[in-house]
Amino acid sequence: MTEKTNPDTINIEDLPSDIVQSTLPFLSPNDLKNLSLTNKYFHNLLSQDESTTVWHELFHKVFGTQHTNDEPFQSKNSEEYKSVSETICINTYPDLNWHERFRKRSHDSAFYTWGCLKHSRLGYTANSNPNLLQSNINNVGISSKFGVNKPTKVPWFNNDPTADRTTSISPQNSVVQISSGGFSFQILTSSGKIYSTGSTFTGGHKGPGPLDLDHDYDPFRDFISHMESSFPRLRVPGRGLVNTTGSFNIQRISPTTTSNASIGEPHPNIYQKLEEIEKYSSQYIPNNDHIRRMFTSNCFAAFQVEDVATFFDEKNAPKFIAISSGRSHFIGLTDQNVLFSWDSPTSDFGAKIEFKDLPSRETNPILKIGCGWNFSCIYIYNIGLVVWSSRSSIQKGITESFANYKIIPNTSELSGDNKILDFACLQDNTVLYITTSGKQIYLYKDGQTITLDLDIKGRLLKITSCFSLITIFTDQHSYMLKVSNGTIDYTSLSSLDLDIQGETIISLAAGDYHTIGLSQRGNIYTWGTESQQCGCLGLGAPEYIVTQAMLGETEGRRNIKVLKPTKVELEEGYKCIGITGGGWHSGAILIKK
Amino acid sequence: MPVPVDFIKELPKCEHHMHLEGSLEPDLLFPLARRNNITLPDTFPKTIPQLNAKYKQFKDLQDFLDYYYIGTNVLINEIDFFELAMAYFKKINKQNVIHAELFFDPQSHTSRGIPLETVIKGFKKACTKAERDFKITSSLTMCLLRHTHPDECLQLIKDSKKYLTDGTINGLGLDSAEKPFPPDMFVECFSLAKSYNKHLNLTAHAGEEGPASYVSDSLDLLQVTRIDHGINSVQDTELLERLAKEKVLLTVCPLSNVKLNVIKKVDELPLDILLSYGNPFSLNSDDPAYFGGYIEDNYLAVHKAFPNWGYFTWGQIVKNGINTSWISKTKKEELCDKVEAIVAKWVNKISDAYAASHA
Repeated sequence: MTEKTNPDTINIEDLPSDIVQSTLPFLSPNDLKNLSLTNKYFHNLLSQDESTTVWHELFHKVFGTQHTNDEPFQSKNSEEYKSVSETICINTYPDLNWHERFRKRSHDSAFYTWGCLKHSRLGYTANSNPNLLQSNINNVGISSKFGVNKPTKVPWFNNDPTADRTTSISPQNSVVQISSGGFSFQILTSSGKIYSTGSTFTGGHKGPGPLDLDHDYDPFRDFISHMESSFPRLRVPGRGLVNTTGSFNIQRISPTTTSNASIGEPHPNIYQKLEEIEKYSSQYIPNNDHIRRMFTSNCFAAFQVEDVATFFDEKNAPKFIAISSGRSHFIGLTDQNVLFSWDSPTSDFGAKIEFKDLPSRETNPILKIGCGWNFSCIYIYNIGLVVWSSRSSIQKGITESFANYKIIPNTSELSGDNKILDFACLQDNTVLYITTSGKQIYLYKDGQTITLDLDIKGRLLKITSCFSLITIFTDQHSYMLKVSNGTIDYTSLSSLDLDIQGETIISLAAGDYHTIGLSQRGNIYTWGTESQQCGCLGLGAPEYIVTQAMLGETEGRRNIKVLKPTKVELEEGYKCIGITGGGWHSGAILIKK
Repeated sequence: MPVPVDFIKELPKCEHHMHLEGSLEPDLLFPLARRNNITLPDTFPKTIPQLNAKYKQFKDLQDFLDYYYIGTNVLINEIDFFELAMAYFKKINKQNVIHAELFFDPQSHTSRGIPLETVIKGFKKACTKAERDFKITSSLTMCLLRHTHPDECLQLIKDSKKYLTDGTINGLGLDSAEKPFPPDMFVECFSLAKSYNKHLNLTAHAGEEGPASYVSDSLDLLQVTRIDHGINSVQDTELLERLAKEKVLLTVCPLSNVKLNVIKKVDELPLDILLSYGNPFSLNSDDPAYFGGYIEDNYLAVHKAFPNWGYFTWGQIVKNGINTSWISKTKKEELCDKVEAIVAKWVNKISDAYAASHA
């Protein structure tokens, strides 16, 4: 190789700057950081605040949740359309450019939760969070310290004081996206890690994982089986040698295994290796063991237990760019377009999902992911919407699992009026979707697709759904439809317009009995029922809601009901840029104004 | 001055944490092996004194399990299970035990091809005989081995539906290696069992080696009303307050904890913390044949390690155990009266002696 430049190649500096700028958003923030350090040209280009297209695109890419069905696809009719967090950032910081907004979003945002405290699902307990005021804790009868009644900051990574804010590169542990299931929250960080709150994301319920009596290979259980099978054998008349462990079926263990644990000799601590593996595969937020990093099953090297030191390897953990949660499961999409699913109470490790007979991710990548109550749904380029509510189990030595999927017919258009614009997931593989024509809402259920006949004005732009609610956004109004047990109550169609001057709901989330709305100005509105005074509305103590502010009334013995959308008081100077809700809890990303 | 040993011995005791398979003594193991034609491994001790000597020096849990599992294999016929339980009852009859809630692990037997019915019938007959001959009331709690797959546990629940429904099995428990098999894996098993019989009592081993969160998850997810071991609850004061408020019994096993290196000495048990928070706990033997002591030995070990406890403290501990037992209200009152009479007798003895010396 010579030092001479090949005349056939062009240096990137030689390209017109607008071409360079339009390619930059395809890079990751870290790539950009490295690029800005390579030479003066890039350093200047990237630190210039006026290179606003780059930073806007980058903001959209990192914080726009474009790979989940939280946001619709971009379309010709929605060119002006911005994601929820972009819209609010523009309204909150009208005088800042996108470079500064990107910086704000990266450095000054924090995760807040409120509602039921059970299983430490809020990411803390009543005693573990110094940000939690005692006056914001609801005590209910025998269940003391049952819920938190105001948005409360979750103990998170300390902001790295050495992080250089001027580089504009987002810190590693910035909260990019939050989502919520029936029992926990999932949090995606800018470094592509997924964290989950509390001690269980399933609540013990089966998700869309392996079918009954089929289950993923469990390295821990295999370890114990292996250990027990090394115990001495017994001779039983008529049955030959049997293992002496008593807890695993005889047939399952090869009888030729010879004992290396001779009776009478001391043995190492039976739990030592288990404890080591457990230690490697459990990572928590510093000083907060109520938020745990969720790993994938491919981190277990070759599923062999012999060598504990290399048994679990964090380096195999992929980098995630999107998350979505169902009731007892969640899925994540990686930067390599690989999908992982956490969906079983018997395994905390995400299973890699493959789709037999579908073309490769190189030609047909996954563009969006979404979760319904008990199933998952993705949009694959040129294939369309794909749903599944079970998958094959992961076997020893194999890292993939195959989804038992169905393709929703006529959803694969790449352009034109029939191209899918947005979709929302209910229950049992039931999916609602709209197309760029914006005229019809389609309902896919039990293999049939029908159109909904609803009295809705305007062109359909976006559709979202939660456990109990569907929200429909058009270019004129927004609407709500109630859902119970997966069945849509068509008579419940109502307008979502707030009575408050200048305020419009642009994002909606709901739990079992409560609804959380987010306005374009970054205000949170909640309404519905606080079961057992769990605090999920975030409006304050029950006495305050009922007798002082008179926002709502008690219902039954311990429920609080608030009928009208009511503004949630946030800490002074804070705005909300993202909400989530599930079960009896709510969460939000707040940002300092 | 610690209270007299005779007072401790006289206290009427309830046992809440005793695995029947763990009460298999060498003097029963060898005869059963002979009767059932089971050839023990060549390296296995040949005589009762040799095996007793081994039992005295387990290095750790695995060492214990080696023997425990071999022992389990000599139990084949109904009469074997009957005799195992009777041997236990005979021992505790001399230790003022009035009520015993007993664990058994069906999976240790069904996986060897022993029918569930054989196990349950053998144990149940012994319980009936103990009540008739010794006036000891008792009940059976079936334990799921948490390191077997939850689907297999679910199958066991289905197979034992008859016994769960008619009350032959009075409680459901969860034992074996806590980590890394958290409670949420067994929600389905527990709710199915409860659906068979709403009076079924639920309990789970938690917080012996696992974290305090396993204790609260067992309460919230499995809906248990009792926690076996549970000593790691003291890591979380919020949890202690909850346990006290909801009157959740912790079944503490002092000698077992020492034998399995959970603690070094009995005085490391956080019993004073539990007392100060008002948490009911009871003292139990766990696997008495292997851990060098039955219930009275555990009481005496704690008595020695906590010499500051007076008559009323001991009385309260015993009454807490009675009040959180799975027995009728009338029976609870009757037993508590008994405790109070004994406490009064001993306190009066002291004051009489004091008065006499100052007369």
